[in-house]
Amino acid sequence: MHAKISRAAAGTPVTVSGMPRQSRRAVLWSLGIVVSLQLALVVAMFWWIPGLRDPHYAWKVQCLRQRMQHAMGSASKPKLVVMLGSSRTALGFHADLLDEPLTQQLGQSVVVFNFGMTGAGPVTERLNLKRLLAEGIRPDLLLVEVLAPSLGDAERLPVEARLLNAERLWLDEVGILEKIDYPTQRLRKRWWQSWLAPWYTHRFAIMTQVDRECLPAGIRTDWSEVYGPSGWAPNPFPGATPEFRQRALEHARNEYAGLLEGFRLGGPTSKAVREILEVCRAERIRAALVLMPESPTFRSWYPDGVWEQIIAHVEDLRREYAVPIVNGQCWMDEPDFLDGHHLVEEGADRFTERLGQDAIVPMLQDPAISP
Amino acid sequence: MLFSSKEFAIFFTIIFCLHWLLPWARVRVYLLLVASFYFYAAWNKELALLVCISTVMDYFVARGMDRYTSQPVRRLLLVLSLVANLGLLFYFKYANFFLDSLRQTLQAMGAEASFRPLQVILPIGISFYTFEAINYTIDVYRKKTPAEKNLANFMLFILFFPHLVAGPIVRARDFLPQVRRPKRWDWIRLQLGVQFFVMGLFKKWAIADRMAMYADPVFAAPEQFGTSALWLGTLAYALQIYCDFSGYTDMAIGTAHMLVYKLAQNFNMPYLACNVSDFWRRWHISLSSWLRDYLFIPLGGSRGGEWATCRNLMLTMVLGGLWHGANWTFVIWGFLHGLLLILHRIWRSFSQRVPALETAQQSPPGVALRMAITFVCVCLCWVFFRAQTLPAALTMVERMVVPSLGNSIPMHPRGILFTVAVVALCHVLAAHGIWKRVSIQLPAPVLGASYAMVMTLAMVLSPEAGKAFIYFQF
Repeated sequence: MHAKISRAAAGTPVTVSGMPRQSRRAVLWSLGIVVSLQLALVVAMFWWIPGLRDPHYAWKVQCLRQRMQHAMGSASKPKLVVMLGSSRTALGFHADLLDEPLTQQLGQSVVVFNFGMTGAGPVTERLNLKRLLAEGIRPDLLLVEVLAPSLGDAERLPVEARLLNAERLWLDEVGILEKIDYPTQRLRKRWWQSWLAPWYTHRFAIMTQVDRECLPAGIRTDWSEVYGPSGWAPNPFPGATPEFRQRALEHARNEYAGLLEGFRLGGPTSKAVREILEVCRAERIRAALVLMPESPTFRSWYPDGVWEQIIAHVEDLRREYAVPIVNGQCWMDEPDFLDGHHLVEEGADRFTERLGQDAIVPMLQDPAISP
Repeated sequence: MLFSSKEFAIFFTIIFCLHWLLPWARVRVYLLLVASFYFYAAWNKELALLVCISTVMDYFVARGMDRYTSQPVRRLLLVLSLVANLGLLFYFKYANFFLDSLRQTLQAMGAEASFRPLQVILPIGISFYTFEAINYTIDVYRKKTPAEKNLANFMLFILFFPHLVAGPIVRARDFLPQVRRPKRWDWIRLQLGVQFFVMGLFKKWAIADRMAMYADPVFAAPEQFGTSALWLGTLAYALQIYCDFSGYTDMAIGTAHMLVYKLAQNFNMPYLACNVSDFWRRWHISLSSWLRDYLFIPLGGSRGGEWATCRNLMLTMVLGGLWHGANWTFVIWGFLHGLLLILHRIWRSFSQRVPALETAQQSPPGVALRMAITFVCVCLCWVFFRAQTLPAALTMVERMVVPSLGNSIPMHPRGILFTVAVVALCHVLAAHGIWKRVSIQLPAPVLGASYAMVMTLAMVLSPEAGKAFIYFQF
C-alpha cells in the first residue's frame, strides 16, 4: 500500500480496485466520528455534566447542596440564607460562623451560604440567581451585594465582562443579558462558536477533571476549590507584608480609579440589580441589598458626588422594591483589608458577625420584611 | 493565519470545495493563486504585494536567462536576481542586527556611535520564499530546469499557501510539473492528506504547545532554576521545536495532498540520528539539502581536502544558523553544529581505521549510545537556539553542566516524561514500519475512528489558543 500511495502521491492514477473505496470510507468515518464526539459532549453537558460549562458555579452549587443536605437531618426544614456577590463577598462573608448562632437565636436550623465569586458583579449575580432558581434552590433570604463602582458602567462594558465568557453561558442566559442591555452581539457569536467544538472549548475543565497537574495553575478550573464548604474563601495571602499590601492597594487603585473617574450611573449593571429585585418580587423571595465595606483609602478615591449618586440610586431601589439596604461601606478600618476592598480573615469574621446580628437576624425575624 | 486556527479551517474548507467543484485546470491554478495571495495578505497586504513583485521579477529574470544564450548576460541576470532576493532578505531581516552589532563594536572600541534602527516589519516566510526563488534562478542558470513560461504557474510555485510561510523549501523542478498536471479527485490522496493534517495538528497542539509550558519559564530566567529543571526544560524544548516544526510541515503536506500536490518530506525522525551528520539528513531536510546544493557544493564541498571541507562545512552551518534569525545565538548555534560535524568527520575517519571500534559502534548498544550522545549534543545546541541572549545561553549551559541548585520546573515533570515516552514509542513504531503495516490491515471504520480520536485528543490537550509556529519567525 505504501508503494501504491507513493504512486498516488506522484499524481498518477491508481487503478487497484477497492483502495479508493477503503480511503473514502476511512475519511467519511473519521468525519462522522469527529462530529459524533462533539455532539455526544453537547448532549452530555445538557443532561449529565452541566457543570463542565461553568465549573466555578458548579463547585459553589455543589457545596451549597451538601450543606443543605447536611442540615436536612434536623427536625425542621432549614432556613436558607444566600449571599450573591463578587470577590469582596467571597473573601468577606465568612458564612460558616453564622450557622450555629443563627440556629440558636432563631430556634430553627439555618444554612448560610456565600455565593460570592471572583470576577463577578451584578450581571453575574443575576445569572446565578436564575440558575439557582432553575435548580429549585429558593433562598429564604437573599443578600445581594451591590458592587458600588460597577454601577457607573453606563457607557462602557461592565468590569465583570472580562470573565463573563460566552463559553460559560446557556442560550437563555444570553437573552437575559440582552434584556439588561448588555452588549451581546459578539457574545452571541462566540456562544454559537463555542458549541462547534466543545471538546476544545471546554478542554481546561475536562483536563482539570482528568489530570489537573498537567495544566498550569492559571488555566485550571479547580481554583474555585479555595472556596470552603460555606462558599467562603479565606484571604489567599495570610502573611502579607505591609509592602505587599501597599502594592495590592496600588493595584486596586489602578483598577478602580479609572472606573470611578468616568462614573456615569446606569448601564447593564444597575439594570441587573433591578432585575434581581424584580425576580425576587415575582418569586416572593426576601431580598436585601448589601454595600460591602471599603477602607478609608478606597473611599477617598470616589470623586465628589459619586457616592451620593450611588446611595440615592440604592435608596430609590429600596423604596421601589421595599428591600432593606445594608450599608457596610464604613464598617471596617484600614488594617481589616488586604487591598482596600478585600477583607482579611479577621476583618471578614468581624464583618460577618455584625452582618449576622445587625441585618440577617432582624430580617429573618421581622415579618414586615416580606416579599 | 495559523493552520491550527478556525480562520484557516474556514478558509481551507472554502478553497477545497471550490477547487474540486471547478472543472477547469487553469481556473484551479488561478483559484489557488488568489487564495495564496489572500492567505498572506490576511497578515499584511503591503508585504503580500512585495512578495508578488519579487516573484514577478524572478520570473522575468529566468525568462531572460532562457532567452539569452550569452553567458555574461545570463550571469548578470543571475546576479541581479541574487542581489535583489538577498538584498530584500538582508534589509528586512538583518539590517538592524548588523547595525546594532556595529554600534556595539564601535562603542566597545570607545567610539561614539548611534544608529537609528530601521522601522521594518519582518515579512513572514521571507527566508523560505527567498531561498525558493534563489534555487529556481540558479537551476535555470545551470540549465537544470527550463524557465517557467507561465507567470501564474511560477507565482503559484512561490506563493502556494501550504508552504509559503514556513516551508518545506520546494524545488521548482519538483513542483512546477505538478502545477501543469491535471488534477483528479483522489480518495487515497485525501486520506493521506487527512492523516498528515491530523498528525500535524496533534504534534502542534498536544505536544509542542504543551512542552512550551515547561520550556518557556525555564528559558525566560535560567539563573533561577536548578540543574535538573534546566535539563527538563531543554528536553521539553527539544520536543517542542521538533513537534512544532514537523507538525507544521505535516499540516502543510496534508493540505497539499488534499489538493493533489506533493510537498517534499522535511523530517525523518531526527532524534534517531546516530551522529550529527545523520541528524542533518533527517532535520529540516529541505533546508539542509538546499544548503548542500547551493552553498556547500559551490564552495567546493569536500573536494578540496580536509581543511577546505571543514571550512566549507563551518561556513555553511554558520550561514545556516544566521538564516534562522538575526541574533548571535543563532550564529553560535550554527557554529556549534559546524564544530560537531567537523568532530564527527575526524572521529569517523579515526574509527574506520579501528575495525573493533567500528564494529562496536554498529552493535545495538553502540547505536543506542551514539543516538544518546547525538541527542544530548543537539539538546545543548538547542539552548543557544532558544535562549534570548548569548549570556543567558551561557548561563544556562553552565548551570546544566555544573550541578546547581535552584527552582524546580514549574509544573510536574510527569508531563514531559510521559510525552517523551509517547514520542519515543511512536518513533520505534515508525522506524520498524509497524504503523504502515498495521494501517493497511485496519478496517476503514477503525482507521477513521483513530483519526477522529487523535483529532479530539489534540483538541483536549491543547493548552492555549493561537500559539504561533516557531519557524514563522524565520
